[in-house]
Amino acid sequence: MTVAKGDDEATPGIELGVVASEFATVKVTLEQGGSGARLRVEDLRADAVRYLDALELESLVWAPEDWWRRLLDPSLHRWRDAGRGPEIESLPPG
Amino acid sequence: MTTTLGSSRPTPEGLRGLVQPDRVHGSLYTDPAIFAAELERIWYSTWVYVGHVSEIPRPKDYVRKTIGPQQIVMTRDTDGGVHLLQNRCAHRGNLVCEADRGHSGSFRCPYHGWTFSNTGDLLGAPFNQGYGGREGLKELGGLATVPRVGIYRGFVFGSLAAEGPTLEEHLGAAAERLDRLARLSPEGEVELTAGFVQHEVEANWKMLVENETDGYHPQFVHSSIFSISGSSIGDLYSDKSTAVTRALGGGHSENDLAPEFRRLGVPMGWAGTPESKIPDYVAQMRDVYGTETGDEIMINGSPHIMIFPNLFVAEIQLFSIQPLAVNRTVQHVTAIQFKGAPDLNRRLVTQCVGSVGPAGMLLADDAEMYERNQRGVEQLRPEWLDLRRGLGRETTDDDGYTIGTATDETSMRSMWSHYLTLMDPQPATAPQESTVEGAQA
Repeated sequence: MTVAKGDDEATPGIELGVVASEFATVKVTLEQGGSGARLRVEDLRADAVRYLDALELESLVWAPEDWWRRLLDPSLHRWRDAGRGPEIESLPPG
Repeated sequence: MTTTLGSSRPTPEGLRGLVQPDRVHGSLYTDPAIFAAELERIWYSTWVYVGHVSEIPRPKDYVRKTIGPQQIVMTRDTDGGVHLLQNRCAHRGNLVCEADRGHSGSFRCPYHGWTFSNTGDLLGAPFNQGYGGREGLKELGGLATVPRVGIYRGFVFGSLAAEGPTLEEHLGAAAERLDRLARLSPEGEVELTAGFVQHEVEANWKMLVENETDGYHPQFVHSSIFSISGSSIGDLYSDKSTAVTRALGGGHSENDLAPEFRRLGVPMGWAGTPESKIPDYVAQMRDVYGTETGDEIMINGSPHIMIFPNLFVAEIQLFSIQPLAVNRTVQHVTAIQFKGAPDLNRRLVTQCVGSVGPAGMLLADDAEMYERNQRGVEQLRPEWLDLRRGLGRETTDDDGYTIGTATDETSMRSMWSHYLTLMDPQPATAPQESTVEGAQA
């Protein structure tokens, strides 16, 4: 199963490489579409994908440290308690 | 006299009977109870060398290290601070980091997903409603931090005791030897970037500490590498040598070979490397320090010092000693690199491959002796190891330190004297879990 946020339409891209540690393995691809560029970030361990546009990437740059710490809480998204919200928040709506 | 401690906890009186001015008892190397007491009173109480800041140059870098059998993760936070964390998940005690090194600002335990910052804070746990939600996480602990972290010249030390002498007090005169080492870099910095080799031996850790500044053994144990390489190092360790063995206090000791290097008077003669092989380095040293001072630095060379209990700088290589059991010790070895000296660094790596690499000849010689020594002291008689060599000809140098000739056992006697002060009956300090601010590199 590929879990994708945004559209999952295949777009030719430049594979920038794999960013890996003992904790995560992510493939990063720069995709150039007719309307503009985006970054394709793929969790190779879980077969999940997220697309990031320029403004989202810029926001990451400016995100405060507390926000990043919050983001790394596994309960926030992938491992939420079932009763609290969607099991996998990054599933595309509907 | 028969002094055997068996498996009972060693008493101070018992230990004082085992460590005498001119001899030590064999059970000090073989008794598991003594080893357990050493972990408590030495390894988990004093300052222990852990790593070097150059091993984690970027924020979010981390590298796995040790304090004796304790698994440590050395990290660099986003502000550049250096932290020492115990590699044990606050949940079920799993090892959190498995890789030898990596780049990650947070660590996720593979067992249940508890996630920690690289300063040890708990960032979250999966399905946190089981803990009462995010608020409930505040009741849970993070990774334990080493209570005290100190850095000198980029060398990172940790102490598992929350209180005790400062790092500067611990290092004493040894600090100046690290200064001397750093000055061999045109930029004044040592780098440990060549990678480590681990040599494990079935021997007690103190045999290694004693051997590091034992100038009596090189002509015998290392005669093969000296003859094959044509090295004149062996001649430095003889009764004709002007080199001295110096007790620096605090259990630290050195073989000061600089008098011989000065007599030789050749820049980089200590490294067996003629100027013509490293012209860029020599030119840069003279440019940075001035010709006279630069030559003086390059003539005096690198120190040969054992910083108690586990950091050994042997001119071109660095050893970190890790005890695992009473008869099991690991030496983590790397080639010393000097910032801004690529041509010299290449030669140092090559030399270290020959001496302490996987097929190196120098450390293999020593390792054989360590293991034979361990098997030997396990024999019942004679019970004692002799330490009297040069006892009657020790003198005091201009700085007040006790010195012996190049082959005297001055260093061992001073190490054992310090050992007794540490193993004294003072209430032992157990490892703490307090959090300290990251030390700035």
